[in-house]
Amino acid sequence: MDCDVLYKVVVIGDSGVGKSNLITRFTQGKFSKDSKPTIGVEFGAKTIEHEGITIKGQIWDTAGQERFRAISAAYYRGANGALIVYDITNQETFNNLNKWFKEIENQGENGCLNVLVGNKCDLDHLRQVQTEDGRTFAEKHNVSFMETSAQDNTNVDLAFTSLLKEIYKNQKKGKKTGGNTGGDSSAEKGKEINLHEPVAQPTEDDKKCGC
Amino acid sequence: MNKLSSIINNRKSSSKNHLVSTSLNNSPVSSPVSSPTSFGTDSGAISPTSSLDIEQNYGECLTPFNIHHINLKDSKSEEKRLPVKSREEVLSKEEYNLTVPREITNEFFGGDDKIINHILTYVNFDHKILRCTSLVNKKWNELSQTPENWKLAYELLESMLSPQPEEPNPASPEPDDYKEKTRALAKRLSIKVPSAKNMRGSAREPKKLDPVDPSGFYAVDYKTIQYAEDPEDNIERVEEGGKLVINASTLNKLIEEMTSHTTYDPHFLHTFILTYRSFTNSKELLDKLIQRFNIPPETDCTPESFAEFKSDKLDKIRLRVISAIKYWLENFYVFDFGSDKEMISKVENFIDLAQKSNAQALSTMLTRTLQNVTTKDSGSGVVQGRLKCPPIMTIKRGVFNKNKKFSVLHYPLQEVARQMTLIDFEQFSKIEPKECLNQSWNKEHRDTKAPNINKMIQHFNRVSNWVGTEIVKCEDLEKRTKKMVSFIELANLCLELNNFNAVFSIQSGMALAAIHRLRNTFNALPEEIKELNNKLSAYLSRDKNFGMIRSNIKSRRPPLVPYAGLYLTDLTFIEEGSPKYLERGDNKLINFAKCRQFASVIRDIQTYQQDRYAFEVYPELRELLLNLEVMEEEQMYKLSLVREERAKKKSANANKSKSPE
Repeated sequence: MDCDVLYKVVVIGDSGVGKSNLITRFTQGKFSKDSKPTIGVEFGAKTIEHEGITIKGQIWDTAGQERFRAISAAYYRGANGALIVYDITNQETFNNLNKWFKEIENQGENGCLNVLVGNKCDLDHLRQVQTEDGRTFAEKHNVSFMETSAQDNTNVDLAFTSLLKEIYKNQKKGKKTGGNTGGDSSAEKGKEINLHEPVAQPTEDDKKCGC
Repeated sequence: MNKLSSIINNRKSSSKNHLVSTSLNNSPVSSPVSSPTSFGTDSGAISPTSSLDIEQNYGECLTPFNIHHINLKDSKSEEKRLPVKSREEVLSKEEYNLTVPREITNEFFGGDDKIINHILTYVNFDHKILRCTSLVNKKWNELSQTPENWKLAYELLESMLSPQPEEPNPASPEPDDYKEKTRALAKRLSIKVPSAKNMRGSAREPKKLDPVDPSGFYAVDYKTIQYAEDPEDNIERVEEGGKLVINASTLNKLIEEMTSHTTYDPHFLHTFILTYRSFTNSKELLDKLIQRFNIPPETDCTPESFAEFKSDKLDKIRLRVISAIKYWLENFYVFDFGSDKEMISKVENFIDLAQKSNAQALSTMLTRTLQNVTTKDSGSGVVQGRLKCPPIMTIKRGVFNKNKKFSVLHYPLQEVARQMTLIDFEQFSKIEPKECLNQSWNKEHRDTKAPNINKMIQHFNRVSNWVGTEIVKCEDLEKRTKKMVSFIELANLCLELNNFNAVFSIQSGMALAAIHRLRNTFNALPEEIKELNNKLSAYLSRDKNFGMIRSNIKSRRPPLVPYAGLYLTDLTFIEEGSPKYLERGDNKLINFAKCRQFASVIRDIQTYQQDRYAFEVYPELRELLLNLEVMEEEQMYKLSLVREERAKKKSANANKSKSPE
């Protein structure tokens, strides 16, 4: 069995906004207290069903290496989508969003789809960033927006799956219309990128994820 | 019940904590190791409570005595201390001497050199297992005198063999059977059982203890000391690799475990000291250890009952407390004490307190340790002289270039790789355990909380940007290509030196958006360089959680500079992957399983911090490498666009999407 398409999604944002927690939550506790990062363990991959096809999202996290600036260049390359995360209890992480948007625009692929995510919405009493401000910012940048909580699992699935579906929709559209979805590179590749891009490891990994 | 059987029962009840059988089964030459805390004297008590798995405990081997090197005959001369051994060094040693400070031998063996020498004769480092059979042999002399004792001997051995000894078999064999059974068991344990005719003397009755007045053993009135051991519920154990290890526990219980009079696990001590900062701080830890040292007897104790308490518990716990602090000082002085005057004065006060608590020997031992660590040269940078260094490959200077200002790439690339490696290693080797906890390198105040990781990352980024800058600076394609070739070759030379950090920084410099887009330059590379570049960039692959570089690092022999980002990723996953505390009803237990994961990453880091490179510093080149001139990324990108124009069909869309906000 194979997945039909594979997309690379990166999760970016200041450190401490809970990126790894979101990923863990979405991919469902890839590491419990007993597991340990080891060679060969691919963290952060999840398969969803949509319109009768299997979409595998390979989710990349900078996890601890955020400050190795140049490393992140490789990280963005080939990304089909990005979750840009801030912490609603920390105004500074919201103020830094411009930096992150710029980063993904400079470094990311042209067709990369973004979602803005305000994390830690369970901590409403500590809120520093109003939902409205997040929404306005998202509208200005023409991206979708939601608030999530990795803690109590609010909207985590939704954030990822809607992004994956959106990417799929976009790619399909791009292919149909001959490829003009605002980003030529993704359109060029269309659906077929998915199994030939470097991100895809069609052999062992697909076996492993069982998609 | 006599003393011996109580020890055996003790041993049984605590045998869950150390499964001797595992290591025994693995190694035919293995035998149980007597924990120093249980070295008995006249009472003849031995309890081979701990098995030391050297495989796991190389650096911090071996016992609270800190086996370094002691020659009892020269006990008055200065104690020589060998540097901490690397795993390879330890494992390659066939013989190893047991170091027992004279104070300890006096205190615990009544200064009886015969016993001590007897013990030492049998202590050797036999491949991977420390053998300490003499005590067991000595025990045989006493045990095997009567049928009753053969039974005890059998139980003793059996309890060593089976992790969870069953209740005594109802159909107990006859005394004679025990003799045979014991010999058979002993054979399995590789214990030499003295034959009957070799036995001399007769079994001694455990010596009756003289009554002792408690007040002399505490600096304050012991009746006023508030201290209670934590209930057993406050510690949870799980099986891991055939051994029971702590899963979760309260801090107090961890301290008790660390200073237990019945169990001893040096691996645990090391893990604890490496990671305690994730749940407490150094001052609290030291306070708790001191509290433990002062463990009071029952308030209504008599001189007789105190004598027993003292010999069974207090003395052993005190030795363990001192050993723990000694170990802490010896291995973590620079990190936890060096720059903290308060900690040092706390230790000094404690030494004073120990003196007043009738523990002069222990306090002297600690005084000496403190002296040693404070005067020890911390030895940083490059080791010269001892190792054979290849000659520096200098730049050729003639009449014409005498005053020319050289840049890094003018120097022989091999030498550049060496100097980069020296710098990278130096920065990597300075990383301290405490910087690895709580993601401090990513948080606010990282300059102070994780200064060394921070410096290393800054240097890494600088090198990447330097690579990018040097390439975009070249106006014409040919020069650009040449520069790129140099960098690829340089990265390859670094790889040959096991400097994965530099491979990463150089390669990610070429992966910068400004460089990656220079298609013409990449296309102009000679085929073999292209191939080399592909090979090198494969090291950066994130597939399988950086599987490629991880397995490569593992397969190489140090000296080596790993890419530290790997460890930071692992630490981040561990940090965020599981809670720091586990809720158990109203109780909050420290998730010690998590600490073990941290410790294993930190140990990996420490493994590579030990072996230095045998290169000499080339000051002028080093200076250049530490002060690389770089452009801002944005500037690089702009320049990149000048060097090679955007592909036409892309430009319309790309410009649109890159419009400034």
